[in-house]
Amino acid sequence: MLAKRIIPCLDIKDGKVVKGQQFENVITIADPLEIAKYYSDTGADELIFYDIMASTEDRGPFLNLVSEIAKTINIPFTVGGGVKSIDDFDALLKSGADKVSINTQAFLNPHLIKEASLKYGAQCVVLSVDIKKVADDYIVFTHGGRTNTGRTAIDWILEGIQLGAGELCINSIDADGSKKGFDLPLLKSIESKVTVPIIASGGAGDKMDFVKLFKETTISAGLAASIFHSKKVSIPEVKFELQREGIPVRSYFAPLFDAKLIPAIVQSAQTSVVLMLAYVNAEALEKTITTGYTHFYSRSRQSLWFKGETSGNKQALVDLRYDCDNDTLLMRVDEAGPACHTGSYSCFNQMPEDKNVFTQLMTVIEDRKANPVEGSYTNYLFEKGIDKILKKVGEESAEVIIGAKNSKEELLYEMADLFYHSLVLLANQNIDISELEAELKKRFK
Amino acid sequence: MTIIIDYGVGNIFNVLNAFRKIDPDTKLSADPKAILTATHIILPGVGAFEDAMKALKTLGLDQTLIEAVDMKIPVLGICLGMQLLYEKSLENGTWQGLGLIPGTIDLFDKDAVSTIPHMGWNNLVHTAKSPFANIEGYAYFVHSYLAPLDPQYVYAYVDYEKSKVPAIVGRGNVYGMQFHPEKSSALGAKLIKQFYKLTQEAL
Repeated sequence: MLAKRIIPCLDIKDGKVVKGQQFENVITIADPLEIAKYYSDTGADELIFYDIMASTEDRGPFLNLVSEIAKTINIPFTVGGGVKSIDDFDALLKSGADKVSINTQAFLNPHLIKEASLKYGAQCVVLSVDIKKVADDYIVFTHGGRTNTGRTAIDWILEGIQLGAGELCINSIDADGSKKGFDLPLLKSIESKVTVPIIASGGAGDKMDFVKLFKETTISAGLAASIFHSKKVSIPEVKFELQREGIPVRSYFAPLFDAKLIPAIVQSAQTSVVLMLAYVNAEALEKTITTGYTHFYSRSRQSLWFKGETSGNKQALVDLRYDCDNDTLLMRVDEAGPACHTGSYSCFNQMPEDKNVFTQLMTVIEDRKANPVEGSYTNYLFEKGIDKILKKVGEESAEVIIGAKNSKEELLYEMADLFYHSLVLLANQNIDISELEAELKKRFK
Repeated sequence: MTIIIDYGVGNIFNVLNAFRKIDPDTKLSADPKAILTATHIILPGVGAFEDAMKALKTLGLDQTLIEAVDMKIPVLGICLGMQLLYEKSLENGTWQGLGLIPGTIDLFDKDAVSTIPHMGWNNLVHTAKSPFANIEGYAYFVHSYLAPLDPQYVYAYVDYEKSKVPAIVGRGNVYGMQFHPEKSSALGAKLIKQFYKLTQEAL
C-alpha cells in the first residue's frame, strides 16, 4: 500500500534554515545539511527546501546547496523559490533536486508549467499555491502571501494541472502558524476535484493533526516546519501515532533490524522512573505498536514475550522513539503494576519519588480554587476572601503558642492547622509553593 | 567497472552518487565501446518515453544495449529506464522500446486508481521467483505509466489502490526497477547491492 508521506519543510535564508510565522518574523535555527540528514535518518519521506529570499533578491535558486543536499541524503527532495524559467528547472534538476516547486512565477507565467512538464515530466513539477479565504471564497495569493490575485483557488489549480503540474502543495495562509491543525475544509474542497497527489501545508500543531488529516481526507502528504524544527514533535512520534491508527506509513523502524535484537528501555510515563530493559526483534516491535502494549523477545525462552500476559502487569505504550544512532529504543509506558518479576516496581529497585506532603496539599488547595467543591472548607475560605484567611492565620498562630505550652500532640495539631491556612493564604495571593521553597533555600548559608 | 548510460535525459547525478557508494569504479558514459567493456550497465531515466528512446537511438545506444545483453553484461533499468527495456509503450502514442523484456508499457487504469502519478513510498511484495525476496520494505516511486503484470518477468510488485504495479522485473541478465533505488534510503542501497551479488553469481 502507498504510504502517507510526512514532509518537513525547510525555509532557507542566507544558507541557513529559518523559522517564520504567518510568512513574517523570521528567525535562524540551523544548518540545512545537518537538519536534512537528521530528518532523513529519522524517517522523513521527503524534504522540501524553499529559498525564501531568491525572489526578493531577484536571483536564481541556490544550486550549490542543492547539490550538497543531494550528496547528503538518499530520499527525494523538492526545491522551490526563485524558479523563473526552464533554465532554472534544468539547473536544479541537474544539481540533484527531484522535484521543483513553483508558486508566484507559475501564476505570472503559466506556460512555465507546460514547458517544464513536457521537458522533464509532470512528476517533477510541483504547483505550490498559497490560499486564503476571502468572504466565502478560497482565493489565490502570490508573492509570499502578500498579493491578492482575486482568482479562486480551484480555478487556478485545475488550470495548473491541465498545463502539466504533477503534484500540488496547498498552503493555507489562514492556518499557517496557527498550530490548530491543517485547513481541512480547504483541503476537502480541492481533493475531490483533482487527480494528482496533494501535499497539505500550514497549521500542523501536533501529531494528532496528521492523524486527522489522513483520516478525514484522501490527501497523500502532510507538510510541517516549526513543530519539527522546534522538536515539539518528532517524525517517529507522528509515524507511530499514524501506524497505531492504522494509517499506512513507511516504518521508520526498518533500519533498526539490520541487527536482530534491539535493546528497549522502558520508562514510566507517570513517574519517569526507568522500569526495565528488555530486547525486541521486528515481530515484538510490530506487536507493541499494533496492540499498544509492550512485547519483547525473551532471550532465555527464545520466544515472543507479551509483558504482563500472565501477571496482569501490562505496560500500555505512551510513546516510542529511538536514540541518536538508531540502535536503542525508548518506550514510555503507563504501567498496570510492578515491572520486575520480583514484584518490585522497577527492575532497578527504584521507587517513584513521593512528592512531599506540602506540595501534595498545595495541589489539592489549588485544585479547590480552580474547581470549587460544594461544602469544602477551603472553598469557604476562598469565598470569604483575604480578611477571613488572615484572621484564621492569626488565630492559628495564637493556638500554636498555646498548644506548645500544653502538649506535643496539641502543638502538632495546631501547627498543622497553621501550615494549612498559610498555604491557603499563599494560594489566595497567587503565590506558588516553589516561590516559598526558593525563598527558604536562599537562607542556607 | 559500472557504466551509467549518459544520454542526456533526467538527473543522473543521484544515480551516480548511489552506485559509487557500492562500486567506486562507476562512470557516466555514452560511448558504445566503453559501455561494452562494463561489468554492469545502468540505464536511468525520467521524463517521456518517446524523448528517451529518441535520445538513445540518436547516440546509437539502443543497439549497444542489445549487444551488451547478448554479451551477458547485466543491465539494470531504473524508472523510465526500466520501461525502455520493454517492447513498446503507449505513452502519448505508440513507441518502440528496446524489446529486451516482452510486453507493453501502458497508462494506469483510471478505474483502478484515483491519483496519478503513483507518487511516494510503497511496500514491495515479492513473487515466488523473486531473487530479492530477502529485502522487504518501502521503496520510492514516481511514475504515471506501468509495466504489464506478467508473472514470467515480475519479481516484485506493489499494491496501489486497486492496481498491482510491477516494481522489480527481470529476464535473464536484464533487470528493471520501477522505483528509484537511489532515492529509497537504506532499502534502495540493499537492493543495489543485491543486484551486484546476483549478477556476479550469474557471471
